[in-house]
Amino acid sequence: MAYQAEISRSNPSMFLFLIDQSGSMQDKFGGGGGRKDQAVADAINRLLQNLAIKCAKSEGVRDYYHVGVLGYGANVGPAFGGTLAGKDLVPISTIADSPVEIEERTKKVEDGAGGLVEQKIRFPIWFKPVANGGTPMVQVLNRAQKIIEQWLTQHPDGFPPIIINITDGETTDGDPLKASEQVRALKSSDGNVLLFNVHVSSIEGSKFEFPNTESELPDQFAKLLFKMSSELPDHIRVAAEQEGYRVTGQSRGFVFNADIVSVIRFLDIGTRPSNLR
Amino acid sequence: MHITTHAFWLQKAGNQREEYEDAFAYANSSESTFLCAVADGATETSFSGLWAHILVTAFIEKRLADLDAENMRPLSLEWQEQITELTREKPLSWYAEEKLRSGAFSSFLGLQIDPGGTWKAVSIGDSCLFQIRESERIVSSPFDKPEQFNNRPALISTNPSRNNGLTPIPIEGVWKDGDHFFLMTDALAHCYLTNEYLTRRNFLRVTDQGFFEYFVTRLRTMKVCKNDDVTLVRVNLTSQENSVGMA
Repeated sequence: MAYQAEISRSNPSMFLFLIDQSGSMQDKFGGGGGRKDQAVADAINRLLQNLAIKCAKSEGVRDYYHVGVLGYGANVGPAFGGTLAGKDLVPISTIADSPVEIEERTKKVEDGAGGLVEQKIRFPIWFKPVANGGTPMVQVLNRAQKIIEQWLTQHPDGFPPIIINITDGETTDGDPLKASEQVRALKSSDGNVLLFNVHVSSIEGSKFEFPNTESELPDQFAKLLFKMSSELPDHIRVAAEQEGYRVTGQSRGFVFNADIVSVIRFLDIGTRPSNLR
Repeated sequence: MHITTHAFWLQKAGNQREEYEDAFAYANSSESTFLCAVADGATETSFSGLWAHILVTAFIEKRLADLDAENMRPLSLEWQEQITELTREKPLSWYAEEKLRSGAFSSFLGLQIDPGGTWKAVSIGDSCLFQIRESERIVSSPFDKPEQFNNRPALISTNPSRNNGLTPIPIEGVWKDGDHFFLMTDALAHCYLTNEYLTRRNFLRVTDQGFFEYFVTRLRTMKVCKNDDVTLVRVNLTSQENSVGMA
C-alpha cells in the first residue's frame, strides 16, 4: 500500500511550497478582504509555523521534514531570506530557528472552565507580502520537478514529497496542467508525489475545502487548479473525516479561499491525540 | 496471593533510550491489593513521557484511583512544576512555548488485583490489558481486534479543557491460580492481537530484557510490529498455597 512509509529523523520526508508573488497578488480578496499577497504570506507563515510545532519535542525540533519554498513572480527560485537565502531545501529545525522576525499577537483560548481568555503568543514571520511581475507557474513547477527528482534519488523509499502551491491561478507562461502531471508522476517506492493547491481568489462567494468535483467551482482558474491537484491519500482522507471535513475517495488536495493548514495535522509522524486541537 | 511481575520496554528504533515516552510502574505486595499501570506519552506532544510517568506513579501511590478531573488536576500542576524546573535555565523558543501550551497527552491503563480473587482495571486510550488462562486469552480491554487501533486515540491531557469528553473504560473480573495478565502499550498490543500465535509463547516466558529487545526487533524487521516505543508488563498470579518456591 502507498503512503505507509515511516516519517522519522532517519527517514525524513519533504515539503516544497510554491508561493505566487506576481503583480496580480496586489488585488483584494473576494468579499472586500485584505490583499492577496498578504493572504499568501499569512498562509506560508502559518504552514511553516505549524510544521515546526508538529515536529517540536522537549529537546528541540526533530528533522522529520526537509522543506523548500520557491517563489514565482518577477523571479523564480528559492524564496527564503536571511541566513536561508538561496537554499532549495532546509531541515525544518533550521527553519524553526530562523524566522526573520517574531511578532507578538493575542489569541483567545479556552480557560478550562467553559470560558475564553486572551493569551499572548509569539508568531514567527519568514515571509512578507511580495507582488511583482507575471505568474510563471509552468516555470516554477519545472523547477520543483528538478528539486524533487534529486531528493528522490537520495530517498527512494521515503514518504513521497508534498508540494503545496499557493496562488491566484492566473498563470502567464502557458498551461501548467502538463507540468503538474509531470511532477505528480514522480514517485518513491511509497507512492507518487502529492501536489496540493491553495487558491487565493478575488471572487466573492463560498469557500471550498477538498472538493471531489470541479462542477461547483466558480471560475476556470479554480477548475484548472482542481485538475492539477492530487487526490487525497487514504490516511489523509480518514484524518480529515475524523476532524469533520466532508470528503470522499475522489476528494482532492485543493482549497478555494480557505486554509490548508489542516493538512499538516493530517500527516502521521506518530500518535496524535484526537482531543488535541 | 503471590504475584510475580516482569516489565520490559524498548524505545522506537532510531531513537535514543532517553527518548522512550512510555511509562510503567507496579507496587509489589504479596498480602494486600496489587497495583500496576502502563501509559504511553503521545509522540506529537512534548514532555509527554514525563506526563506518562506522573500518571503511572500516581496510580500505584493511590492518588489516581478514578480517572476523574479532580484527581487529574493536581497531577497537571505537578507536570507544570516539573517543566518549570526543567526549563528554568534557558528561555523557551517560540515553538517550545507553543507546544507546551497544547499540553502533554498520554494513554493510561491501571490494574488492581485483590487477594480475594477479583481484579479491576480502568483505561483511557489504546494501552491494552489481556488476561491469559492456560495459554488462552480470556479478557482483552479496551480493544480485542487489531482494526480498533488508529493513530488518533483520545488521551489524557495535562490541559484540563481537553479532558472534557474523555470516557474511562472500566472492566473487572476474577483471577485463578496460574493466570497471567499482560499490560501493553499500543504498538505491542496491536502486534499481539494480530500475531497471537507467534508472540504469546515468548511474552509468557520472557524473563530477560535482552531477549525481549531481540524479539521485538525481529517483530519490527518482519513488519508485524509498528516501529514505536513498546512496553510489556507481565503479572503472574498464584494463590498463597501454591506460591512456595516462586520468585
